[in-house]
Amino acid sequence: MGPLVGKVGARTLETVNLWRETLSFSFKVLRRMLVPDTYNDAVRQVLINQIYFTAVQIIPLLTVVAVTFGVVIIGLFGNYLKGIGLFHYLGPTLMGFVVTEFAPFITVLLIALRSGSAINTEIAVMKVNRELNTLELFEIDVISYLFIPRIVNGMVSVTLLSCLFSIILLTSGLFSASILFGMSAGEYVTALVEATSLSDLVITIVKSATFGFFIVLIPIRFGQRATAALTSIPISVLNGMVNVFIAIVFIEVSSLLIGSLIAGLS
Amino acid sequence: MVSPEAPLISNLSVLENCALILMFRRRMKKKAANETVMTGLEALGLAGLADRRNPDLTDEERFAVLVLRAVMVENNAVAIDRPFQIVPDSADASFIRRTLSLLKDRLHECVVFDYTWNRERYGEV
Repeated sequence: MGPLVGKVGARTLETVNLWRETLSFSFKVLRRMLVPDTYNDAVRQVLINQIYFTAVQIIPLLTVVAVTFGVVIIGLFGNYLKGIGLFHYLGPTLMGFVVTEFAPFITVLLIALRSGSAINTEIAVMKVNRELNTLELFEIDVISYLFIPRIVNGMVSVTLLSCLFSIILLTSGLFSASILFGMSAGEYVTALVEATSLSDLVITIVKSATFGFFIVLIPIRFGQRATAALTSIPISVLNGMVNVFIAIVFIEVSSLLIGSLIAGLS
Repeated sequence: MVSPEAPLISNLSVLENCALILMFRRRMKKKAANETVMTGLEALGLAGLADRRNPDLTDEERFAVLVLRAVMVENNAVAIDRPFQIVPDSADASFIRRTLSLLKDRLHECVVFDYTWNRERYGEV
């Protein structure tokens, strides 16, 4: 029994320390992000490249996913609400589910799988190749040059793509709404606009930016933990992506709790 | 510092690797930094390599670019660490002499560190 408790305790302490270090690193990065001097020409160039790789290249895939879900989800929701006689709640249901929950969640999954893993591998390879060592030798601040553009890109990309995903999904939903339920474009748009609330939009933007921050910061942290051995790269990516998943679930659950609290208070 | 322990950044071109130093260390704008690096590459006769990346360079080209990157630091004192690990197939130090002479206007001070058993390969350098 003793060794088991010891093992569990050691593992718990290790996890707690890891998250404490990650949070302390987050504050360090956030402080640096707010300093205008950080954004010199080299950093701006990296930021533009990162936004292109993360936010622009993924648009075709994101569009296909959003259109597919748009046609299916609005059909399913409409049918269900019609069945229980609450079809007039289609607008609030779509805005509440699609815009504040579904769009940020699917977007962050797509970006974490595509760009999060790429960034984790990139940093780990740079560590193994001693390229991080090069930057330190030439006194180039690794946080400013490598990390901040990627993290800012994560925040901007997830937020913008999340909005784009919502727009495409709701637009493609018009197809189901008109075919299955005979709604005109005007009725559909009115239902959505009437259900729009500023607090939902604010929660969505804050949540998307938080998702974007952590799905890049965590892979960076785990990439840095790679050793000089090539075999440490897959281990660092594996651990990084598992922790990204945990962070996504944690942020999603926290946002639901905060949303419920706000709704309860108002 | 020119060292096998400080390789070129592999996802940047030769031009970007050297310009990065100017943009961070001397706070230069991208255009001015690129022009300064191009002048250095032209002095080395390697202007055609500006867009190439680390794996596309020969050992001697890589060494020359590493020296050029090192001289981008203001008031540089360039330390060349084990150059024969960067250019392992060279029988003598002529590549070092050639590179340093082409960049002598930009070089303030230079020290080479190497193992004593490589002494003969240096000749009169």
